[in-house]
Formats: sequence, structure tokens, C-alpha cells
Amino acid sequence: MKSKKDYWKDEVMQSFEGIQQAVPDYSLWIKLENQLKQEPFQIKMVSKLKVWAAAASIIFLLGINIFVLAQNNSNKINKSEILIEAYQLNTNSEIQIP
Amino acid sequence: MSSEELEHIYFQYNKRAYNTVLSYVQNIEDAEEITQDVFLEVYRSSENFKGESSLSTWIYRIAINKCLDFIKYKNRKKRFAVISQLFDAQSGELVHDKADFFHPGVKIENKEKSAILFKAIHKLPKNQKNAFILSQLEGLSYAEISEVMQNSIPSVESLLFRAKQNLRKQLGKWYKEE
Repeated sequence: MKSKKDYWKDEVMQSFEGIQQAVPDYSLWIKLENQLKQEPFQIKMVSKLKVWAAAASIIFLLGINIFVLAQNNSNKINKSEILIEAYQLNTNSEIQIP
Repeated sequence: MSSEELEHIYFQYNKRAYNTVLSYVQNIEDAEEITQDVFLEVYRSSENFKGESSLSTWIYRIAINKCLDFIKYKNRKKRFAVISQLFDAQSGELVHDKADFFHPGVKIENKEKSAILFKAIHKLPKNQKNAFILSQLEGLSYAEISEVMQNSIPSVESLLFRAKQNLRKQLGKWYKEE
């Protein structure tokens, strides 16, 4: 048979039953926000891999641009030659009637 | 981590962190200060979070470590306190008991008994205290507790068993026959 002492211990051990979570006051967030504003600016270190990937992407894009521009220029030159030949144009700007 | 990201994390986990801290330090003002420190730490150490554990596990660990640091600091202060301050100025009695803690979330009919239980929890060894608070007050499963404490599940079970044994032993010392 349980003693009064044991019953009392059981009651104490069960005293957390139905406990609700305490809610911190909203002012706690305000204080934290103010502290964050005073935090030194965080210099974020980026990984080397990301730096190399970014550099490689830029070089690749530049390369493509240069290639496309070069292609455009050579296309223009080709077109000019075709026109000159077709119309027997004098590049000295003299018009010659065939 | 941006402050917007921290705000999102704060409002998602603030109750859990605050309640863990409150159960540990058993004082509302201290708990508020420590909870602030917890989220500042989350903000400062966000780069170190590798995602190996869940975010809540990581925050629980930070909260418990902050509580342990706080208790160590308080104990150090006590040790250096002038001896006369240990005695009550009016009655001359030795003041060695901590003030009763009434958790704001406890049912009114359980307030007195829960204060006794919190006093007993305060006397538990660190690991038993952690396991008991995370289980009985935070409602974490054994698996979740083992993740937070980085112990095996059987170890958590054993800690909880011993915690309850020690609590009952301590309560037995305080029982007053009416």
C-alpha cells in the first residue's frame, strides 16, 4: 500500500501535467532587432569554387560575345565582297556602267 | 544570414528556446536575456550550420549551452560572494535556498507542487537535467533528445530513469508529515 509520502511525491512529479508553453514578450524581438543593428557588418566569405565558377562563366560569356562579333564582322566583309563582285562596283567609289 | 531570415527563424523557434531556457534558469528576466543571446548566436554562427542536424536541434543545443554557461557564471559569482551576504540581514539565517519558481504556464492548482519540482530539477546533474527538461517540459521524443544531446537512445532512457529516481529521492527529503 502506498504511503502518504509516495502519493505526495506522485502529485509533485505530475505537477507539470497540462503545462502551457510560456510566450516570450514581443519586446524581446525588438531588443534583439536593435542588437542586430549594432552587429558589425558581416563580411561573408565566398568559397573558392564559387569564385572560380563565376570567373569561368564570365570568360565563357566574353568568349561567346567575341566569337559572335567576329562572325558578324566576317559575314559583313563577305557580303560586301559579294556585292562588289555582283555589281562590279569600283571600290574607289566610281560608278562604272558595264 | 540576413535579419529577415533571422526574424523568420526567431518567430518559428522562440517559444521552444525560451521555454527550455526558462526551465533551466528558472527566472523570467534571466531567461529573456539568455534567449536573446541564443538567437544572436544563431545569427553569428549561421555560416557554421552545415545542416547535419535539424535547425531545431541546433537551436536547442545552443540554448542548453548558453544556460550551462550562465549557471557556471552564477556559481562563480556565488563563490566569491562576501560571507556575510550569505546570511539573511534580518533573521541571521543562512540563505542557501533559491527562490521558488512559478512557471507561467503551469495550472494554478499545480503551482505550489511544480515549484517544488523545479527546485528538485535544479539539483539534478547536468545530463539528467537536460534529458528531463527536454522530455517532460519540451515534449521531445527519445530520438530527438538523443540528437540534441548527441547520446544514444538507450543512454537517454537511462538518464531519464535516473533523473526521475533522483527527483523522487530529493522530494522524499522535503516531505513534511502534516
